[in-house]
Amino acid sequence: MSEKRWNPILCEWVVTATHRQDRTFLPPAGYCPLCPTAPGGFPTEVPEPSYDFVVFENKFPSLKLDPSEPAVESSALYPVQPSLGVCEVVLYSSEHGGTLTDLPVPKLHQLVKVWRDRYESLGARPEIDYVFIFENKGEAIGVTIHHPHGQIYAFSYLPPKIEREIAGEEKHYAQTGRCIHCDIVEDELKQGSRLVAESRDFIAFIPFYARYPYEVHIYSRSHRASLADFSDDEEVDLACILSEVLKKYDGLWNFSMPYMMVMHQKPTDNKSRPGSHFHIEFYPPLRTPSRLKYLAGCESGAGTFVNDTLPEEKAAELKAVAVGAL
Amino acid sequence: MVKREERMPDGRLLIYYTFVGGREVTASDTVPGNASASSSLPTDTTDKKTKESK
Repeated sequence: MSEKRWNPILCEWVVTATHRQDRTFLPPAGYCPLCPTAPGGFPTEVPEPSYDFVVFENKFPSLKLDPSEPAVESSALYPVQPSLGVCEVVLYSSEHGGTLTDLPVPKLHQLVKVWRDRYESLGARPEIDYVFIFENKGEAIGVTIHHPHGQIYAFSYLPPKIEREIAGEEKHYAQTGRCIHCDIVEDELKQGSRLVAESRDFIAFIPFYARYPYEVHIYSRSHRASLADFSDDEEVDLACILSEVLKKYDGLWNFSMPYMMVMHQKPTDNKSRPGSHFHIEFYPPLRTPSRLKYLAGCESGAGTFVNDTLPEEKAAELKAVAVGAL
Repeated sequence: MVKREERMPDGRLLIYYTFVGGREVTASDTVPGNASASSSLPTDTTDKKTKESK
């Protein structure tokens, strides 16, 4: 059972998806549903014995192209709609072990192409207004299957955080005629104190307004609205800086850093969005090797994040992590 | 890059992405194990047309 319920106070949708309570939860070794089906073994999601990348529709989707009718009636106070959209799983490798960090740059470059294809293919659908590519990594984030994978939620509407981001972009554009993200990139390069890594076409930094201690953002130096705007060389360079940031995370405390990785880019609603600028945001939940940053009362109840650290200091820590050859 | 689209027994979309030898594979390349290529789902151009007129 799945539906969208409107919160008339915050003016945002909440998706109910009760069937997700029964989804696979930390399966024992040898019973990973994302590994290729072994000869004589139990059928997994992937029949082929090996693969470069696989994308498939989530078995337990929050959003569907043919959603069921809502279980409750819509009213003037509480509008309800079918949870229209697409939920996909992106498998990075047929190997069960490892993480995104372990992929060599050429393979990351291929993954960028897969992400781009999903952005273009899903975004071309008339129902889809926003293609949201993300990865949850580590049990600290609530990951239920360890096989290296990411996810894509293709929304039929603009999610609230994206809507708010676009409002900020449009306000800045109306005032200055410039992309706010381009101005941020320029300022970060000028300041320098929050930079974590630089490449020919991209920079990585902890933003001035970071909510999480080790919140790194990756931006293209040039104005690029979405993955669809990158040249092949830029895709390679994105793979390089992504690899560098991932290795810095794992090198910081010498263990695999849990994180949420999300991509923000131009909506696919065919509206003019001069302020959209592709970027990747990482939200690692750890503030020390053993302590989590909880979204507690102030963050959850008031919406104000309290960051116990200074972005400039945390950026210096990550910048100092040597990663060796990519 | 070559995409091969299939349907799972329960109707869900499953896509294999194949790359070969550090360069992109073109559609004219032979893809090992791609016996079902002829049954690949066609690209849905109808959706794009609808989208453009949205």
